[in-house]
Amino acid sequence: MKRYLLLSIISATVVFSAYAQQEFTLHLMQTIPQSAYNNPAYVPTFNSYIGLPGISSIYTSEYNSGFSYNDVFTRREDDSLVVNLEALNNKLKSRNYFINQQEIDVLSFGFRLNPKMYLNFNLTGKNIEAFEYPNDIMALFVNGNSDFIGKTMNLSLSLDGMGYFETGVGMSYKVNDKLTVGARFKYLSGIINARTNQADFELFTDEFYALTISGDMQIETSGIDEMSNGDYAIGVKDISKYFKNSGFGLDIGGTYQINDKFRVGASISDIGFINWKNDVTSYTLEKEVSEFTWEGIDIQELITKSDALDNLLDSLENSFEIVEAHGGQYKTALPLRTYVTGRYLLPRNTEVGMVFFSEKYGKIWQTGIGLVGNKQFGKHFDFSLSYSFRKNTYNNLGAGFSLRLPPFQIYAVSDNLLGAPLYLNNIKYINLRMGINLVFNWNKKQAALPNSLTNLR
Amino acid sequence: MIGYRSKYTIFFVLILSMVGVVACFNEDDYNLDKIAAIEWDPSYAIKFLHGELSINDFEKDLKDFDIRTDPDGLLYFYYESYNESDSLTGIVEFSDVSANASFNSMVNFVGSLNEELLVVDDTFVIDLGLSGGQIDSVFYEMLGLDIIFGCTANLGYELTFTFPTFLEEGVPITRTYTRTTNDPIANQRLDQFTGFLADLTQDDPPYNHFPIAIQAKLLPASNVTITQADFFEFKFDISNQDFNWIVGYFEPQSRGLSDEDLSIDIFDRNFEGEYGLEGTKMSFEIEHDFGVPIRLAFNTLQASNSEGAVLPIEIDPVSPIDINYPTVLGTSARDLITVTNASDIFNFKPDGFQYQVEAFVNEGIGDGRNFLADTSKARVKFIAEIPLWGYASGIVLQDTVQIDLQGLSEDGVEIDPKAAYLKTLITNGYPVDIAVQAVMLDENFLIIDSLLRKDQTLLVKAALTNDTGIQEEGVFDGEIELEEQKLDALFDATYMIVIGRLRTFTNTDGSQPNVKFFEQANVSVDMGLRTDLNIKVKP
Repeated sequence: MKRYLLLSIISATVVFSAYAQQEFTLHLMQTIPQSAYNNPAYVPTFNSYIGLPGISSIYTSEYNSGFSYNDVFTRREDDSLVVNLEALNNKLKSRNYFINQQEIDVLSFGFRLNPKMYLNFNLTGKNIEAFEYPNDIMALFVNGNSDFIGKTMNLSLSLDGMGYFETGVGMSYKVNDKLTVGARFKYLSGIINARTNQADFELFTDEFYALTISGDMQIETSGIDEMSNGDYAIGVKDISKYFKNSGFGLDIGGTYQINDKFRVGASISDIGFINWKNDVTSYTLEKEVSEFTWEGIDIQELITKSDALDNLLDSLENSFEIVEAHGGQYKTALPLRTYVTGRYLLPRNTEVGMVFFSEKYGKIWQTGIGLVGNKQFGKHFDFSLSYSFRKNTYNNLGAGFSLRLPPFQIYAVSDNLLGAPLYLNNIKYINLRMGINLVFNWNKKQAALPNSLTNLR
Repeated sequence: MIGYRSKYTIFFVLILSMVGVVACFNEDDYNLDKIAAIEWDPSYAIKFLHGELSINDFEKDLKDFDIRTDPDGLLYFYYESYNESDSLTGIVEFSDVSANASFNSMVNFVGSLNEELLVVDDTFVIDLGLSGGQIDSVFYEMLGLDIIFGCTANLGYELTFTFPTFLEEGVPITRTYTRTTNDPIANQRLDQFTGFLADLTQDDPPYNHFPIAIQAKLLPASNVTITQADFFEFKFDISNQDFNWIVGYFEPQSRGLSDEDLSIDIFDRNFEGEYGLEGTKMSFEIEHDFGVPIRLAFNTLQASNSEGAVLPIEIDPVSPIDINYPTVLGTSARDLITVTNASDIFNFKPDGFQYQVEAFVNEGIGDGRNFLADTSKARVKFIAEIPLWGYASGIVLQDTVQIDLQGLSEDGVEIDPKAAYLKTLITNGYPVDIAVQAVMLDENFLIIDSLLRKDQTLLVKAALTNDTGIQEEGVFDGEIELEEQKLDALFDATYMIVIGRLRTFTNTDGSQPNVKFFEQANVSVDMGLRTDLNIKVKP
C-alpha cells in the first residue's frame, strides 16, 4: 500500500509540476535585478532594490518533449473532443520527458557597494522534477505488443526531483572597463528528493507470446516516506529537520565588452550538491530475481484443478518484491546550467543578442538557442522579444517587459508567452517569470549603453 | 522623463496584450467533459497455456485405477480390490468348561495337630472340550479359572493346585488357597492365567486335556478330628479362553472365505468409446497365514455388466484349488490364480464382479500337525492390469472452465474484438489423434457457439510407436484465425467446455493397428492468443 502511495505521490508530482529553468528573453533585460540569476556578473540598472517578499520573482517552467495538446486532442464538428492515442503515440520519440520547475523568492535585495561592486542576496524556494519515459510504454498501451513479437520493449522510467531552499549571496565586480565577473554562493536546505539511480524495465514477447518482464531498479528518496505515512509537515517546529539535508551551490559568470557594440557573456549556474540525510529511504528491485515469464496457465495445473491462475499471479507478484531500506545518506547534484551570450548594440537603445543554453539534470541533457531583441524606452519601460528553439520545440516566441514606476518595478518575462496565445495547443514548452520589485536610484551610467550609441539617445 | 500620454499608451498596450492573451484561450479545449470518447485499436499477444501433459495427469480422474509402468516402459492401468477374512480362525472352537472332582482324606486323625498334615495328594484331568481340532499346544493370552472348594470337616487347611503342563516362562503354574475355621464351608476363588503355554498332550488321548495336581494339608490346630470318610470337593469353571496360537490337527471342515459382490464401474466409466486392448491381465491373489492344507472352491465366479448380462470368469488353475500353506507359524503362503478370459471380461465392460470362495481345511487328510494364530487371516485380492496397448476411437475427454471476459468491459469501457489468432504448437508423443474443439455456453449452460468452425480442425496427429518406443511424434504447429462472431460469443460466454476427441493411430486404409502408450511420452502444449481489439472508453 505504501509503495502505491509513493508511486501516486511521485506521479502526481510529475503531472502537476515539471520544471526546467532556461531563460533566453531575460538575458537582455538588465533593468530587472533577477537577470543576475542567469549570470551573476550582470549588474542591475538600479543602485539598489528590494524584492517584495513572495512576489518579487515567481518563476514557472514546464516542458514536455513528447507531445502537445493538438497531438492528442481533436475537435469534432459537434464541438466534442476526441482523444487520439494513435497520433499521440506516433509523436513520441524513443525517449521523452516532462520537466517541471518552479521558483519563488521569499526575500531578495541588492545594492551597489561601490562603483565596481554590486552585492545581492536571495532566499528562494526551488522545485524541479524531471520524468523520462520511453515511447514503448505508450506503444504497448495504444498498439499492443503484437508488433513486438520476438522483440524487447523498453519500459524504463526515470524520475529525478527535488525541492529545496536556496540562500544566496552574490557579487559582481567590474574588473576594468571591459571585464565584469560575478559569483553567487549558495547554502542549500533540501526538503524532498527522489533520485532514480536505475529503473530499467523490459518486456520481451516470444514467438508464442510468452511475456518476460524484467526489472532492475534502485530509487533513493528523502522526505517521501514520511509524506506517504502522513508525517510530512513544514512548520516552524518541523523545518529544522530539513536543514539536515544541507548543501552548497555556486554560480559564476562574466561579461566582456569586446568593442563598443559587441559584448559577450558566459555563466555556469548551480555548481553544487545537496547531501540528503533526512528520512532517507531506498526502493530496490534486484535484477537477479526480478524477472518473470508469463507463459499462461500450466496445463497440468489446469487439469489438476488447482487454482492455477491465482498461483500464477502470486508468482508474478513475488517476482517483483520491492525491497525497502531506511537510513543512510546520499548526494545529488544540482541541475547544472550554462549560458553563453553574445549581444550586439543597435541604434535607439536597441540591443540584439544570441543565447546558448544547456542544462543537465539527472540523466537528461537539454540545450537550446535563442535570439533576443531588447529596446529601452527611457528609464521607465523596456521591452524584449525572443525566438528560441530547443529539442522538439521550434515555435517559441517570447516577450518581456519591465515597467518602472519608482519605486515600483513590475515585470513579466516569458520565452513562449507571445506564442502561447497564438498556438497554445501546439506548444510543448512554456515559462514565465514575473514579479514586483522596489527599485531605487536609477544608475544612468549603468543604464547607458556602453558605446557611442548612447549619444544617439 | 516620460509624459502622461506615453504612460497611458504603455498601459493601454499592456492591457490590450493581456486581453488578447486571455481571448485566445479557449476554455472548452480543456473541458474534459467535452471528451466524447477515447478509442484505439491495440493488438495484444499473450500466451495463455503451456506445459506438458501425460496420461498420469489424468490418474485422479480414473476411478479406482492406478497408472503403472511395466519394465518395458509400457503404461498400464492397475486395479485391485482386497478382501480379508478371519473366518478360518474359528475352525477350532474354545468353549467354557466345567468339571467336578472329589477326594477322600487319606488319614484318620483325632487330637491336637502340631504340624501340617497332608490329607489329599491327587491329580485331576480336565478336558478342554475343544471342537474342530485335536490340539496339542496352545499359547494362551488369557484363561479364566473359577475354583469352588469345600471339605466335610470343619478344619483349617491349605490347598495347592499345580498345573504341570501350564508353563509360565517354563515354570508350571501353581496356586495355593488357605481355609480357616471361620471361613464358610464352601469357598470360591477366581483366578486368571495370562501369557502361558499349555501342553495338552499328557493324557490319553494326547490332546485337548490338561492335568491339575491337588494337595490338601491340614493346618496345625487343637481338637482336630478327620476320618477317611471325610472328603474334599472341587468344581473348576474354565472360561474366557483367549489364545495367541494353537497347534494340533485341525479336523476337516469348510468355511466361507469370501462372498463378494464387487461393484466395479472402472470399465464402463473409464473406457467409454470403442476400443480393443491387448494383454489385459486379471488374477486373484490368495494369501493366508493358516498352517493347514486348504482347498479353495470358487462356488460363484462371474462378471456382470450394466445390461444385466453375466459372463463366467475362467481361472487357472480351475476350481477347486489346493493352495499353498505356511509351514512356520508367523509366515504366510501365497497363490496366484489367473483369469484366463481377461480380455473377454474387459470387452464385456463389467460393472460388477461376484465371487464366493469357500475354503476346505484338511480335506481328505486324517492327520497332521497344523497351526493358526488368533491374528491369522486369509486375503483375497482381485487384480486387473490393462496395458495401454490396442486401439480405440470415439473417446471423449472434456472439461468445463468458467470464463468471464464480460468483466473486461466495464461501465464506459467497450472492448470489441475484431480478430483473433490462436497460435498453437502441440507435440504429441501418444499414438492417438487428438481433435480439440471448445464450446461456449451462457450462464444457463445453453450452447452459444463453438470456438472453431467445422472446417477449422485443431487436429494433433498421433505419434508413431512400435514395441520399442516412440518413433515419431505428432505435431500441430499453426495459427488458427477465429471468426469475429465466435469471438463475440467468447466474450459473451460464461462457461467453455473444452472437448478432446481421441482416436488411436489410423492407417490410410482406415484400419487401426494396435499401438502402445509409453511412460516417456507426453503432450506438450504452447498456446498463445493474438487479438486485435477496438477499445472505446466513454468518460
